[in-house]
Amino acid sequence: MDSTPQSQAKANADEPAKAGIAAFLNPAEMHKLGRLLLLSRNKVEGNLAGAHRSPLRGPSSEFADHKSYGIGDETRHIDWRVFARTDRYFIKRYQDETNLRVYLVLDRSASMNYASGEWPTKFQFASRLAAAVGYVIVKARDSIGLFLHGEKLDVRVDVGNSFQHLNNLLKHVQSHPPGGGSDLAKTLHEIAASIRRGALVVVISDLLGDEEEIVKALAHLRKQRHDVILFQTLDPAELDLGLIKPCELQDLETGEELSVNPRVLVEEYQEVFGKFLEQYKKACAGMNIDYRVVPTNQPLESFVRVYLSERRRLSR
Amino acid sequence: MFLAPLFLIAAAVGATMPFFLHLMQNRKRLRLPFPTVRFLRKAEKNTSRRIRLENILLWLLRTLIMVLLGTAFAMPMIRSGGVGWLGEAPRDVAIVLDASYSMGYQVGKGTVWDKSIESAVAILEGLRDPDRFCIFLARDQPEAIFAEPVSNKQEGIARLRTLQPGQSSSRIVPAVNAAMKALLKADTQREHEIHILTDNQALPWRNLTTGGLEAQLEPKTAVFVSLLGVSAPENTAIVSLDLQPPVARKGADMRAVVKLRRTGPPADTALSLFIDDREISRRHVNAADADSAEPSFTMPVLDVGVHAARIQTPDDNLQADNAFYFLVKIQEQMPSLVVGAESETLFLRTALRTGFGSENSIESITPERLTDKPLSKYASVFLCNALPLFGQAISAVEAYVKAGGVLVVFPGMGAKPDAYASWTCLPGIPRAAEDLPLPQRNRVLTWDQPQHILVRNLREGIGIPSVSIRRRLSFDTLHEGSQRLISMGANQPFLLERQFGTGRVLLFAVSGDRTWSDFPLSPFFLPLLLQCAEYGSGAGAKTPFEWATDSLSLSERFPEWKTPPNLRAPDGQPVSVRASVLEGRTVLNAENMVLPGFYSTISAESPEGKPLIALNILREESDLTPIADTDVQKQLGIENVAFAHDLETLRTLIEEHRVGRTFGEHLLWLAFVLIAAEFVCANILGRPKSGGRDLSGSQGSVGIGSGARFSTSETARANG
Repeated sequence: MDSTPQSQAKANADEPAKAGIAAFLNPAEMHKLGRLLLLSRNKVEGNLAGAHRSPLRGPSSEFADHKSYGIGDETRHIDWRVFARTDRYFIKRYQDETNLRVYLVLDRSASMNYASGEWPTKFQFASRLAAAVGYVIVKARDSIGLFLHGEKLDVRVDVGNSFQHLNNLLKHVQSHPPGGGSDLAKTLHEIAASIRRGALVVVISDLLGDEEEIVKALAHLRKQRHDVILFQTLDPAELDLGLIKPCELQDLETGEELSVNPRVLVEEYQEVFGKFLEQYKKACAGMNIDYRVVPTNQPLESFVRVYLSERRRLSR
Repeated sequence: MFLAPLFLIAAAVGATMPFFLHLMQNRKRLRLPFPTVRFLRKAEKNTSRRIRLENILLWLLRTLIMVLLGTAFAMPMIRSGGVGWLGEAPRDVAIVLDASYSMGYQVGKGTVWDKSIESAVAILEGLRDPDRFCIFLARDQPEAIFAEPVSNKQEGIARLRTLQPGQSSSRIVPAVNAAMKALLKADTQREHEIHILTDNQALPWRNLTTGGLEAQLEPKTAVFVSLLGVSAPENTAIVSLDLQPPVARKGADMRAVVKLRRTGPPADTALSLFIDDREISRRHVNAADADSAEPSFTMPVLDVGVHAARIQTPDDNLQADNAFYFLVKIQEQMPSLVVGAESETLFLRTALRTGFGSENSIESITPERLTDKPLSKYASVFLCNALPLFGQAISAVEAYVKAGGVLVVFPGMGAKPDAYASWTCLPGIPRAAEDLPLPQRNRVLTWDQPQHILVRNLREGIGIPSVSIRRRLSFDTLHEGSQRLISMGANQPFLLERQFGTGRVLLFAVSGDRTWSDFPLSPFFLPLLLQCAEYGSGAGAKTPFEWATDSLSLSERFPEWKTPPNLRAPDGQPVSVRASVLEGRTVLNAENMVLPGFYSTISAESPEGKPLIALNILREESDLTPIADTDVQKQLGIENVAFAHDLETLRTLIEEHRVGRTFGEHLLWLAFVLIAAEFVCANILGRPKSGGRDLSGSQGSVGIGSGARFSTSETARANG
């Protein structure tokens, strides 16, 4: 089965009737993704019992600590062995396990509408990536929510753990094509202030805004004890300036024009752009944020699979 | 100057093209959306200075390329020498042809001489109407074919085609000197060219006496040297022959020893001996010995008379030196004159009679009758205790020796050492005749010159020669040119030899009878005496061959000739013999004796001709060792020499000299180099080395690869 990004993008474009997750992932991809699990590195505060560690104590088989017996405590939790040794009553407490709340933050600014050659636009790729992550989350019976933003927060969908919820969420993505400017920093500040602590926030954007502000906003999320994953989707031409002929370039968001000869600028451009990426890399490493540059010419399914395996390994 | 100056306009137009293209390119740029323009602007700010410099460099390169291309197509010309406009100035040309026999070296279908004539004809055909030419042949002495510049090319070409190489060697530089003088004498205002046409042989350049040109070469004189021979010639030639003895008695041993010279890598060869046009024997010479061996041929038993003989090497590229001619003279008898008392010459006469097998060849007289005999008819004269002699007799004997006779002297009791003092032809004057005490009488004879023709055949079967000597002559010093052939102890000569005039004198230290020693009874007395007699027959004889020369003295060789003979050359043509009277004596000289072979006289007795002289060309020319171009420059003493090794190169050199040489090709090559440099500057230096860096490799994520393709969207157009 042909599952290259190009073919996927083409297939999706050819089938406008599809809606929800079917518009982004084909059955084969869903089958492969269904066996994966996205774990949070932090303790999360869910509303349901689940596979993720909670900061609370609760019913599970994993021993956490002892507590002096008090009024209201059930006597069946008294540790009689400790009593025999110390002649005092202690209650055994266990680690609570809860479900994971994941918020997808998807950038729909005009710069995300760029594609070079036959590769999908950055927004198309980001949408598919969001669908893949969402599918993994829902399949693991965790909850997923969505923030779709441009210059402002356009769509907010609260968490849910059903496929119906995921489909509705992705329909919002479909119904909001990219356009306009971008203010990711502001959006992230709003999100940090609005969601309950201990969630996993997955940011999918090209991060072409003010990098310092964006880093501050990411720090805000971390301060709220959210686990953050940052996917920077970029077109290959943005990375290597793969143009040959001299041309006049117009910025997708600001409309700024520049006449360039890419051939003579390519090395300097790569150096400047490399520094730009390095800033995010260092900042994210300092804040314990998972940061990945995701070129749009990558096979999506393999990228997600490799990334989740790696994350699972590092989370142990 | 330019052959196609219109292309200079193209060069000027082409020089402006990069600028106009730059303007047109700026006008027609694509407009593309791009998300990271701000980074590009930052990059541009950092690199604007470099980009400007690169653009200026590229513009200069492209302009220069266009100018070079246009100029190259305009065919710029430069002249390599001389003055005038495109070679229109009148010129005088001197052609110097090497006419040595080595020019007959076969190269392909023709010879080097043919190639040089072809080149000379081409030189003449390339002359314009006002041009003139003169032609000189380089032989031992320069020979002028056209001593002064003439303008009739057809006559010159016709004359060239009749020329043939000579049978001698050549000297180039004297001929060049003669050519230079002819050019300077004719007209100093014209341009001058000297063309030297020769093979690659070093010899004509080497045998210089002057060491360079006599006069300073004019600045406007161009020298062309065409070395038309092969670069690695091969040749095997017989360079000399030694016939031992030069004249032999019928039935006597005779052999010919030849000396070879090889040019080129070693190779096997074979020598054939022909006598009277019949092949007698053949010798094989190994490659390793081809340059040093001295193979010898033993002569068969020949009839009395003069036989025409030659030794032939196999056919090679140089035919002229393949045969070496010589004459073999066989005589019936070797008349010897024995002078001395009958009792004292008994052993001598007996030995000679036994050896020759005939009484007729020996004549015995007493010393008093010596002046009565014409000594010239004897091959050898033996003096046995004949001293002292009167002055007239001494003069007669010494004249006989000087003319080529052999004198053998045995001392005796009749002469004291003082009696030898008046002789000038003896190898040494004895100090004394001393008696030896009994213990010292037994002496072993030793051969001081074992290869000498007198003694080299004596040791076989004889054993250790020991002689009892009772009395002997002792010597203090020997005359110059004398040598000791046999000794009877340390520094005690037994037999001395000296060349005197063309003859030889042999002096024994003991008498010819038994009064002084038992030598007459020893087993080598007879063969030694016979060898003296045989040796004497040829010692004064002329060499069995002559070298080619312009003038050969017949009077020296045939003193009996008083009138010019009817001498014929090997090709049957009569030979010019010049007679002159010198000091009351008629002297005959044969002119132009250069054709190798047998020269004979025609007479009523021998209408087919009787061979008298065997003539060979000088073999130094057989050394074909090639010369390097730089050595030619050294020998001429000038640096500016144009060398050609074939006719095409010579034509090109002449064309370059007379018309000029275009350096359009060089400009094209330079333009090609600049195009390559422009390509490197424009395409390689401004591009990342490996298609871009991997910027996505943060935290171990999957890379983006390096070869993104663009074909469908607007950016595809930007990528061409």
